[in-house]
Amino acid sequence: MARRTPLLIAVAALLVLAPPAPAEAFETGKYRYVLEGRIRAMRAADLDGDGRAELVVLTEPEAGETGPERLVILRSKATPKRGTFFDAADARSLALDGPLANAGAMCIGRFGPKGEMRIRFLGPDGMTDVGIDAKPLPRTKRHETKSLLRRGIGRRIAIWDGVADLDGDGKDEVWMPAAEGNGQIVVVGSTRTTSKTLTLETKNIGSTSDEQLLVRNAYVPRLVPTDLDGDGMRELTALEDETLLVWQVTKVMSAPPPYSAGIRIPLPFLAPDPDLPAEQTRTPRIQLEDVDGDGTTDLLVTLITGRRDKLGSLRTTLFHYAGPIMDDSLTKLVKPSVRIDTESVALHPTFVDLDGDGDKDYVGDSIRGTLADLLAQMMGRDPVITYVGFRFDAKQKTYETTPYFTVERRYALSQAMSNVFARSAWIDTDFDGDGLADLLDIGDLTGVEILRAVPKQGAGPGDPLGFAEKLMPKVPVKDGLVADGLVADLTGDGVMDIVVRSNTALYIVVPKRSR
Amino acid sequence: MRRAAWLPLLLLLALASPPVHADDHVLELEADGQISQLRRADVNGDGVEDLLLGAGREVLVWSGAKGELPEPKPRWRFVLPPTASFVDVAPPGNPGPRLASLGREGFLFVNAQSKAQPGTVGRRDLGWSDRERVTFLELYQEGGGLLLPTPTGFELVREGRETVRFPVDIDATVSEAGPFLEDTTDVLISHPQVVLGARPWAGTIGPSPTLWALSGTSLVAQTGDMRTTYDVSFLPGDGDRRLLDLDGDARPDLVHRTSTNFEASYVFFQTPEAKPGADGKPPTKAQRPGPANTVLRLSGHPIEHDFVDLNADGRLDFVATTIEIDGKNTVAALTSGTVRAQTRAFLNRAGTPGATRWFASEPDANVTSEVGVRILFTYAGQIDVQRQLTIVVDGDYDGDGLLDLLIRTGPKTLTIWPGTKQGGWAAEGREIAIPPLGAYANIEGYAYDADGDGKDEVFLLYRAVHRDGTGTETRERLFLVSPAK
Repeated sequence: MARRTPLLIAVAALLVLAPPAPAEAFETGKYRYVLEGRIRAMRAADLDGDGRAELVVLTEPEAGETGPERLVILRSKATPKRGTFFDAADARSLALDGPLANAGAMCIGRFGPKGEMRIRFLGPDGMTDVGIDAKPLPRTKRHETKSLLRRGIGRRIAIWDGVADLDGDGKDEVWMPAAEGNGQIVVVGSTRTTSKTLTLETKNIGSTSDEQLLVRNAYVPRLVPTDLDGDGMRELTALEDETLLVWQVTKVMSAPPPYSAGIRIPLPFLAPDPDLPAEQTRTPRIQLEDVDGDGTTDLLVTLITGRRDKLGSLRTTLFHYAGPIMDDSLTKLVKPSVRIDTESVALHPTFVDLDGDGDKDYVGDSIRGTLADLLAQMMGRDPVITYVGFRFDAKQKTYETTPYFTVERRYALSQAMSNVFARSAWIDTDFDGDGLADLLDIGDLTGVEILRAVPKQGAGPGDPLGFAEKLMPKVPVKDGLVADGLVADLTGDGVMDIVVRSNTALYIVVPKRSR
Repeated sequence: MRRAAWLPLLLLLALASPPVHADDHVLELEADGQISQLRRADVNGDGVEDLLLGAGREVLVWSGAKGELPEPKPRWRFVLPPTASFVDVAPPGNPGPRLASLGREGFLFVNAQSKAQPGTVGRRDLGWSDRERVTFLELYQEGGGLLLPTPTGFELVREGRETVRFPVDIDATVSEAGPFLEDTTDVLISHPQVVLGARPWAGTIGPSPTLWALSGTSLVAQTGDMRTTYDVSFLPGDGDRRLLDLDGDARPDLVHRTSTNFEASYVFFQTPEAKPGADGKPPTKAQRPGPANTVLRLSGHPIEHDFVDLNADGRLDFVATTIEIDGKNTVAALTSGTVRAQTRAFLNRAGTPGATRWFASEPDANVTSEVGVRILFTYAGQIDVQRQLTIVVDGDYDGDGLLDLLIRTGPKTLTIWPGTKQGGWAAEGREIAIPPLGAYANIEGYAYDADGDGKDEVFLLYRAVHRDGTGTETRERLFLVSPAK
């Protein structure tokens, strides 16, 4: 009964959706590129600065085979190669063994002397930079910074996102836990003198087991680049217990290193509730983004509450704390400007511009359902995932509390059963140029499709926006997709292209739209 | 609706339950702090094992004594230095018991007055500290050596003898952080388990003992400065690997386990005697284990497994408990909060005339029991089944030298199935009343001979409920149950 109502509204909304404008033909080029080995991860970055993003792919040997992981750089050209998009002759590959055998993580950033893009490996033996030709570059004194991020024989390298241009010089800083001691965080600047050690360190937990005599589990805190005061310089912000700690790393620090956090903002909503019943859940999750484009970072909290022993009891509540998030004393959190409740748990709350106004709107995705749905899933039926969007209201400087759209899509059971819950849809790119973000969906992982965002005409019940028309009908992928995808301008035409993948092949979809 | 269905069952249970023995004795122990681990060891050298519980940076010790149960309050309370990460029981000092700790400030002795002093093995700095708690670790080895981790492996330090350096591959993984500020990148760095055993080759060449460990894709054995390698790269990368001497030749054999939600597979490999080189000296070429001696595939979701000598024949037997993920158990879990578990025993036949496989494919004993489960609904429309299982396979409660099986069969009942001479357990069990589970998350059980009479008591730890998202918890409770003897 509870589910019938939204469905009815959705059906009603479909009936009253505006007939699609005489849409210009949305044509795409479709390509398939097969790599050697098994694809493990991919990223896009314009490594050579020609305006076209390259694809950086990590591969590993197929099951039963041995060999190192490999970094593969696929270079984009103005004219894609027929059938495969990338030309295998241009692909460059680097085995992650030898000097890179212990490196635990890699990142991509403007690490070159003039801010050129590089791929940087972090590990206990120091840092190694790699250029577009996939060859290690000469190391300098700065590269001697050793990291706790290490990997053992046969283990996978991780992708590290601790990279940003903090001082605005066009070159990226990178931060990481140090190899020595308790793993204090070191920020490595573009010159040796700008490197800084923070008081922040990893949390180490020791353990032992039948297989391992001595185990160190080091939890490395996440640092996010922010501009909390809107001065144009970025700080690094982390969470420690119930307090936001802010390091103004680009400002002169008079005290000797390691540097303490200059700003500390207690987050009262993180304080444990001693009266909370045991079966009750109360889990706040924090994101820091400038959603209204005013130059200051906003605090976005998605709080999960409800009873875990009652199906359908869980809720997600978004609280938006508009920046500047602290008062003039820099010690007190401002009040939230809005509260939005949605059913079940938003798996990947994202803040994206849905309507082209420059503000970041809120999209939550959740799997809902009844006991019958649950049993059906146990019998092998794919679950349904519900996407709900809320628009940012520039006048109110916060989010509207009624949904902008609600759309249900199929979700891969394999993802749910394995407890991975990777993203399978993206609503952040306007593929057809009408100003509205369209829905790119790989849903049950059997193919890829794009649904056009269509505004409802006139007044009436239901959400103002729907995703009714198939901008790109489903392109089936025989060997099945992996829940991974990216959107980047590979051709340099200003229009975003799509890359999804299976375990062995990349599928590239290139919209053909003149600007 | 549910009450009606329960009534006949309750009536049946009331009729079927054997009477609880009036002489069973339950003693509550007093402890504060969150108990993270347990150890049984003779701290004061009186020949009776003491009970050590780790609670944060403290180790609480209840003293075992011949012929009497401990006082409810711990006799000793050790406070470990803030930089200590691991702790072991050291040989008693003067005066009184001592613990040895290892952490960022190196190897230290800590006495019962919580005073720390540097150890005598030189400066060995772990390099990092666990600020929240200390973990029990067996640094002291049988035979008097002290096994200490180094950045590249281990050192075995023995008084008056040359230190054995044992390089091994240190495993390390990095798991990427999630999208939220509170998400962390997890770095796991681990030293493999080390077994002290016999030399890989026959004869008396080389000093003793030999250190054995799984290192990367090899099984390595180090005797003095001589190293023997067995190539185990054929093993799949997933699953657990464990070293245990199953055939009684003092060379550890290899057990590889893989599991899914629905079954577990155990493969047992014998470590053969290494073949000497042409010159008659210890081998330098990589050896290869023989084909798998035994493969056991057990249906059901694997819960626990252990290797214990059930029938006192000197060989390690194999005991595994599983829960079938089938319609019956799913419905039972959702409607009554219980499921049926099976505990199977496989007796070790190594060395038995005519037996080529260590374990038969069918179990030698099988006990079915009902265990409690809590169904929780996770954040994404999944169910999370929390088991409330108490099972102890290494206790001998009647002192006959045979290991008995103990399972909690109700919220306030333990059942003991006595061990039999043939191996395995008696068909009928005996019930013991215990304080009710109540709102506690689970009860952990451990066999412990508190009074040194050769008959184990049962130590029960009532795990507090840890509230999601808040980090607070209710206080844990501890009981020592002495079954009637």
